[in-house]
Amino acid sequence: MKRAVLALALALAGALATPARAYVRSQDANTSVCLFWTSRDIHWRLSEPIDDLPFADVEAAVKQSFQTWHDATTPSGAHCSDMSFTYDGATTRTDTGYDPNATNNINLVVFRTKNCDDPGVVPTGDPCEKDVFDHPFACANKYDCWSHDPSAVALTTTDYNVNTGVIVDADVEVNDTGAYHFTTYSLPGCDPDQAGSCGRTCNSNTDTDCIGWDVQNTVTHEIGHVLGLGHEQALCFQQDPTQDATMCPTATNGDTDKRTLAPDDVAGLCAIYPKGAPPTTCTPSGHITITSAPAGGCSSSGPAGLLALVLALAVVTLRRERRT
Amino acid sequence: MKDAAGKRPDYRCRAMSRALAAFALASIAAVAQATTLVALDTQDLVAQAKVVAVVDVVATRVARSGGILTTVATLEVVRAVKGTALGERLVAFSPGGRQGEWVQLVDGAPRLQEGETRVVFLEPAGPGVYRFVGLEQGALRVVPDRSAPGGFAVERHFVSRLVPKHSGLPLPLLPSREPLMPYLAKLDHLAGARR
Ligand SMILES: [Zn+2]
Repeated sequence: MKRAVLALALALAGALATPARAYVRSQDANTSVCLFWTSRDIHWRLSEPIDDLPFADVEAAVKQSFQTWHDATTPSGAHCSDMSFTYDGATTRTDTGYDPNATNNINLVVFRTKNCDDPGVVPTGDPCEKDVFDHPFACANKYDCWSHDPSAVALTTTDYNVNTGVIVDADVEVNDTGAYHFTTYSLPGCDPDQAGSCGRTCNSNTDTDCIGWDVQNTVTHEIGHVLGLGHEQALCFQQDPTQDATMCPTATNGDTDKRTLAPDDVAGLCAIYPKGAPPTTCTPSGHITITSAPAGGCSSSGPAGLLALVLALAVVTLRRERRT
Repeated sequence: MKDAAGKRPDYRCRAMSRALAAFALASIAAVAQATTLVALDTQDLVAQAKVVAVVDVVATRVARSGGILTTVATLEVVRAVKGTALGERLVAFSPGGRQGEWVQLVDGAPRLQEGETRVVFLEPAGPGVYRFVGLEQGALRVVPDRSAPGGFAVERHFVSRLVPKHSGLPLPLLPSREPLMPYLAKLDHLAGARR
């Protein structure tokens, strides 16, 4: 009897410890609308060439990343979303972003192999550099270079309508400038959720036949953003790696577990794009992203002024302490 | 920076209103957007940044380069830690922004709003301009916190690498808070600041 009670208690504790649904949807900071595509067939292209990796290998890895989201099934095996993707082939275009007046916007995956800050990448005196205050980041598209923070591994830019949340364009940039050693290596029969099963972790940027910053791992995560999912930070670093969300924001050298979706990622996909039904707007049962708060009325000097005072006093105290 | 009526905006007041509202909302849910990033700890942030400071966001505008939108923020230093001085005005870029109905969201970039107070870690992005180290990791919000000495805390919206992968250790609840004053003392120590 005692054993049965213990088993019941453990089962209950286990059930309570497992978050039922924790995915995060991307939301507008001001209108709070959730982001989604109206189409169930997202077209994308891959920019070529990629100087440091065999293009066919990258193409296969990125295709597999899209396929993973297409094939998503619930733990019971149900195919709960009909979102699909069409690869329109390689392109020499490298421009990210969106022009509302243009008819040739594309959803692009691009590997930036040069850093805009490196000597010789942007010619000295180029207008894109001189015009930095009025036209920032113009050099990135013009010279196909990485202009973001070097510690970002990859970055997704999503364009949408502020009132409806409807996504009109999304681009993925991968920081392949040398800061991260990207690889597409995989042993036959690998299980991405089993550390080491797809290959050993690379030891250096010149190491071969190993897993470094895995292209498929990285791009599968970014596609989650393309679809309108934000980060699920509560499902990072789980003891059971199969529960690690693809939408966990951090990655390391040798990571492969984002190649496969966790039940939470699938729940997010299917909540936005349920099979045979229109896309949903925000679902209150999922976590929501709150990135700003409304400003309230205030007429006198506010406590942020107090913050300045607190900081000033702290400096005075520090000086006195150092003198004594 | 003047508003349409020609008055200097009371940004300190607005910062407080926003911070208080954010404080209230934090108890519901608050998770920041981001992309695939290497999680940086405080030591990394200080080491990589040329400028570390507490700043008021005194103005923001959105600039367009073809299909790219960028938020250009003017920051006023209210407490310098490294590479700057009290009262100095700095210009920092954050990718993404809004023009009319069109919004460009760059996952992971800080979305700065006029009137906010932030602890920022900046690196040069060109002559006279900066960008945020580690994207949103380099722009921590300063929020009122009654339990903190001095009444303010810094708010972290990003998972820390201090938790070892697959350790099964509980992750800190996000956003996590740290009292501002001891945090600044830590930054001073790391920056080797001499005042
Ligand atoms: Zn991400």
